Amino acid sequence: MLAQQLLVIAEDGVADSAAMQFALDVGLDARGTTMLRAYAVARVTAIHDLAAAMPEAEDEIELYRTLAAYWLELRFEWQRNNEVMNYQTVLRGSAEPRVIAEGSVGSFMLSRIETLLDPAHLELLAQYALELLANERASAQLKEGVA
Amino acid sequence: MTLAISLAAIADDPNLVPELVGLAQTLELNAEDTATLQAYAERKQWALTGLAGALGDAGSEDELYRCIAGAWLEQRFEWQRCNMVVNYQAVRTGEPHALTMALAAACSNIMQRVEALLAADDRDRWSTFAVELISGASSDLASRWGDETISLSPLS
Repeated sequence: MLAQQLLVIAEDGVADSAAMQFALDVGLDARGTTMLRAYAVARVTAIHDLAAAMPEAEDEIELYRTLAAYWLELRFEWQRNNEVMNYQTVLRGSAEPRVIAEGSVGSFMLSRIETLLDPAHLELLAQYALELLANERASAQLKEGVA
Repeated sequence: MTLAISLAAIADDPNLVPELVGLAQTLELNAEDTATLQAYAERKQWALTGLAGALGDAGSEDELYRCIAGAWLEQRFEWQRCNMVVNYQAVRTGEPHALTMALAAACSNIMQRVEALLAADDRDRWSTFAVELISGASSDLASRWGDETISLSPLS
């Protein structure tokens, strides 16, 4: 069952190990490492909470859909970190290590969730992640200066 | 750039973290959950500050708008997930976790701040997509998915 597979991911401790390695790779100090590990724990706890809240067979379809939405959530988060990294690199010559490390943890979590989603669904979700923002700022209201 | 200034104002708001952490008192969180909420609030402010700082020199307002939209969508999906968990917890146990409720409320607070920078039409379109992704309310694309497990709504 999907809930059980999610619990395996949530409880195997791999994300925390990966976070410590990413922190080491980018040279985070003790406080930065603690914050990165807390972020990884939060991401894993979210998976655990989903599985624990929807453990029954009758919940499986909604759990799958919610997992697909969680993939999109992580994807947009990863995208934000990536954009910040790119702009920081252009502006300052390098990106903030914490941003790089958090982006790495996000990418790692995406890859773990992807093992539970149908590849065809993933392809469509990735397409939606692009399309959702493709028509941005289409509204005449905004162009008139709402912001 | 109007958007960059507005985003920086949200990120720099000294009330942001205290307001979010104040939810701990409202929901009577224990010390451990309060610390988790505090870390969450500080991370969110860090993320907004990073976005505002890095994109202050974005090539165009359109590019900055797209990035802010992505950040809002991130919050929207997170808020929806927290609510989903809270609802299921309430049904299963009659007692949803207070921390998850606090995170949902914090998420909502941040969304409201950021969405002031986005067009209502865009937000409505994205919100509809997010809801229909979970509910499967629209089956227009079911044939593309090839089975009944999931169906996504068209985006426009």
